Amino acid sequence: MTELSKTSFIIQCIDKVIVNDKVHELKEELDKDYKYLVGIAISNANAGENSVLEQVKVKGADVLPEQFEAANLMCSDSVAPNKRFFSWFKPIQVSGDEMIIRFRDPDWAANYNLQVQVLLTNNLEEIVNVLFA
Amino acid sequence: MYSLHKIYGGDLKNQGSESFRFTVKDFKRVRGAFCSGGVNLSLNFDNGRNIMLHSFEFGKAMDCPPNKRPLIFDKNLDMELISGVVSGVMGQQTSVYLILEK
Repeated sequence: MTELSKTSFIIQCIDKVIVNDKVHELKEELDKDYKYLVGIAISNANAGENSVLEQVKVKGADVLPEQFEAANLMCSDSVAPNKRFFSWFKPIQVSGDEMIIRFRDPDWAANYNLQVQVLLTNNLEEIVNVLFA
Repeated sequence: MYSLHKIYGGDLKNQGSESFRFTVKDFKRVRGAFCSGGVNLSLNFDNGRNIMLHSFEFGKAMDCPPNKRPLIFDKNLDMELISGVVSGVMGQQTSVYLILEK
């Protein structure tokens, strides 16, 4: 079985302070040294469980369906860090492209930092074995 | 490779129960299904002749890795009508997803 520590990957973190219950847009260029986007996770330390990803796009194409429940990308601290990614989508070929995420937390009560974690790799076959093992 | 499709999305009305229909085109297999946490899902294939799930409860499962939460199976498709019922708390925002493969 392939081990995560032996594969070529990077976890790119995209942060935004959530200041109300309206839509917040996160924009960031993905690391140009990696070819595929294969996983997404949300740090659930702060975001409400009814939060919604209105859109997740790279190169204008949807990575996830619109109005995707953020809870699908969140998990408790008891889950191993390398198992916290959601990968049931077609891997997206990237090359320093901009990622746009539109996030809304209808239960927002106080300001917090939202962190979206994006898993990028150059070795598609190996990383898929790790993610679904 | 997999492709993720939302086949139902909306607020649960009708006493917390909604039915849906979805026609699959351009995909040969379905590899799994999942829905919002805390709701029950019934899912039928082969134009209603093959019942895959009957009021299956999807928990919130935050202690489970996100990739392990979908119900995984393997079913061939051919221009198929998929139908089902999702039920839970009235007014609850709910979505149902299929994982499809070409």
